[in-house]
Amino acid sequence: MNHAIELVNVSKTFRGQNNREFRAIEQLNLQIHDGEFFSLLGPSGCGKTTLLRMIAGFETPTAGEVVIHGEAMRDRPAFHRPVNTVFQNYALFPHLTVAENVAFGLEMDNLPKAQIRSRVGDVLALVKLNGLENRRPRQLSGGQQQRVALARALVKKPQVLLFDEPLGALDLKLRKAMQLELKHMQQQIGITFVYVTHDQEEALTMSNRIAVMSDGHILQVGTPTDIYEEPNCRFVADFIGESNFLIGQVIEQSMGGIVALIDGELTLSVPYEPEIPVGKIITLVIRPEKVTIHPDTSGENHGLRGTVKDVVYIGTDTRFVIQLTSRSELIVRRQNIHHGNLDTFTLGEQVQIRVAPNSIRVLEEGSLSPDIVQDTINTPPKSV
Amino acid sequence: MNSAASPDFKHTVDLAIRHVGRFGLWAITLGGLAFLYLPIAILVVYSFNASRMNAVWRGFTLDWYRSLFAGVTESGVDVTNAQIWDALWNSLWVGGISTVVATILGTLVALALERFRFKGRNALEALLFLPIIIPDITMGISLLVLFSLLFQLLQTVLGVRLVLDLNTVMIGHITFNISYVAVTVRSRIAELDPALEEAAMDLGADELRTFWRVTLPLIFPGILSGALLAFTLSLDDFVITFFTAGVGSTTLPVFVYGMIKLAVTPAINAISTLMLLASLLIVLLSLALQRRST
Ligand SMILES: Nc1ncnc2c1ncn2[C@@H]1O[C@H](COP(=O)(O)OP(=O)(O)O)[C@@H](O)[C@H]1O
Ligand SMILES: [Mg+2]
Repeated sequence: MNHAIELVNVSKTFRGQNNREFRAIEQLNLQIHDGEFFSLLGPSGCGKTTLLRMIAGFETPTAGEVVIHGEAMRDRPAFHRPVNTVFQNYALFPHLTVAENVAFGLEMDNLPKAQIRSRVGDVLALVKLNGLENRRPRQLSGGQQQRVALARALVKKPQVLLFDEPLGALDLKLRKAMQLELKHMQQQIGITFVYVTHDQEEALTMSNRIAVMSDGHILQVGTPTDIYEEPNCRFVADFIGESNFLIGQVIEQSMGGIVALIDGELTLSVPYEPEIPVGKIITLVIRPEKVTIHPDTSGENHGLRGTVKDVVYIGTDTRFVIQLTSRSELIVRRQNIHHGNLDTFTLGEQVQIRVAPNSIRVLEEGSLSPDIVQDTINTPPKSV
Repeated sequence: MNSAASPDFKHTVDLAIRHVGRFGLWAITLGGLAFLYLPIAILVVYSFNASRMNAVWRGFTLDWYRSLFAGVTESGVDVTNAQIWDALWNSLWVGGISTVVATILGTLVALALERFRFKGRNALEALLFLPIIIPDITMGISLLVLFSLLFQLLQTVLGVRLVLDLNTVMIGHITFNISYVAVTVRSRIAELDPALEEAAMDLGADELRTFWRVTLPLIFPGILSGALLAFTLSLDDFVITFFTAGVGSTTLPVFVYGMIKLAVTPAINAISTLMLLASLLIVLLSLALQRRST
């Protein structure tokens, strides 16, 4: 597959006041495929904008190379790069009308007037702004300004379109509508979108692939499903959606599975292929919606149990906080499919918990407090 | 119904207090305005006074204005109108040239200070404020000293003899006007969102086209109000002009001062009224431009 954009060992160090260095991006490698909707997702300050600005040509990498469609961009100024940007606060020219804003990029290419007029008309129709040609940016609503910014970049027919949190200033309803519209537009015209956002739901909704960033590094790249179902580290699991983290120690490995001792109290068997030494500390990630709770009627000495600590009704779902061990709680989400027809649980009640072992994700990271490690060595595990 | 008497009374007192308060506010405002504008109003009124003496009102006349344009009034007073027109022309010439030069240089200084980080930037910034802060008289004397030293040097080295004239006045005005223009333009550039220039480059405009198509149009209101400010300051300047002007190169304010030394005639009131009118028009124009741009 062709790469629209390739970042090779890219670093960016800012030199601030009194010459203090700040590493915004460190040794970063990334390939973005031609024609995909690619999102850079991460908390504020992790370096998303800096990365995007290096692709656009507004910042020069301190080291490494930005390659667009096979061409190295070193020494190529922003105005000679085959990419266009939709800016965070739109950056519309206040002294020009909507039509003049959109025509600006074509005038810079010295196209004939007639061609400019027809292309501006076409793109304004595409973003549904006909009739507003002669307005100034300040006479438009936020959503309309957003569309002008989009039209102004699209009209240049770039191979890659860059977005820096373009929907951040819109209200929730409009933002949701624009997310779908942008996604459909990208599928329709087929060019590469590189989309910066700190909103994980937005990234999951729109993207073909997502890169999760933290502190100037990329932690994981993958499809929305990959990222959500198989996070490769605690940060990703925590940042995308909601997660329960249980910290434990491997006490046995056999037949593609491991047995983990949680908090020195509770054993769990989960499938895990890679070789892992006994005694290793691991983190188990369990998504709240993948757990079900049931009345503890069986009387069998089998499965997980816990006590109900809290019940919160939030409309679509009910959230249960279950005390699993003396140190760990488990958040469980139950969709309110029926009304009045679901099991109810009271605070302090002992319940049975079921979770499919293959929906538990094992991460080889984490640390236990020393007293638990002691416990593990001296006392045998309870039961399961 | 009986119990309503007391609230009624309270209401009346409230109203009275409010009336007094409102009257007081008006009185203070009017007093302040009178203090500021009464002298000017008197000047304007007496420029239409038929009497030669400023103190007595002898009826309405346009004689003094006529005298400015015709030279001789019915009462036969010569206000040396040719000299007035010369002085006015000098003022406009000095104001015009110094405004153009100071506007271009001041804008460049403002752009450099806002956009580039270079050695000596802080020093330049401090120096820029100096002509605004230091007293006119200091500035005038230093310019005078500078010019005479320079002229002496030129005469001994090159044998060229230069004297104070309108050009030295112009240089003096340029020096202080650069600062005012730079400060005015700079505040405008500081308000400019840098993303706008990036957007222009993103759309394919190189540095030069970005400057002409985006930067300049957006800071133009600032440049224009800087220029108008410079022009008014130049027209009004007395002290610095007084020190840097040579014989026969007076501007209007210096000429008017010279006339007063001879005799205070209502013609001076007429000239002052016209100067007031011109300044007012320029300020209004500048305000209108600024309002339109924001
Ligand atoms: N021009 C700059 N000078 C110094 N530090 C900068 C500059 N631009 C960004 N940074 C720093 O780099 C880090 C990443 O910034 P940014 O890329 O804007 O993050 P994000 O877009 O993910 O919120 C931040 O800590 C920010 O303070
Ligand atoms: Mg950002």
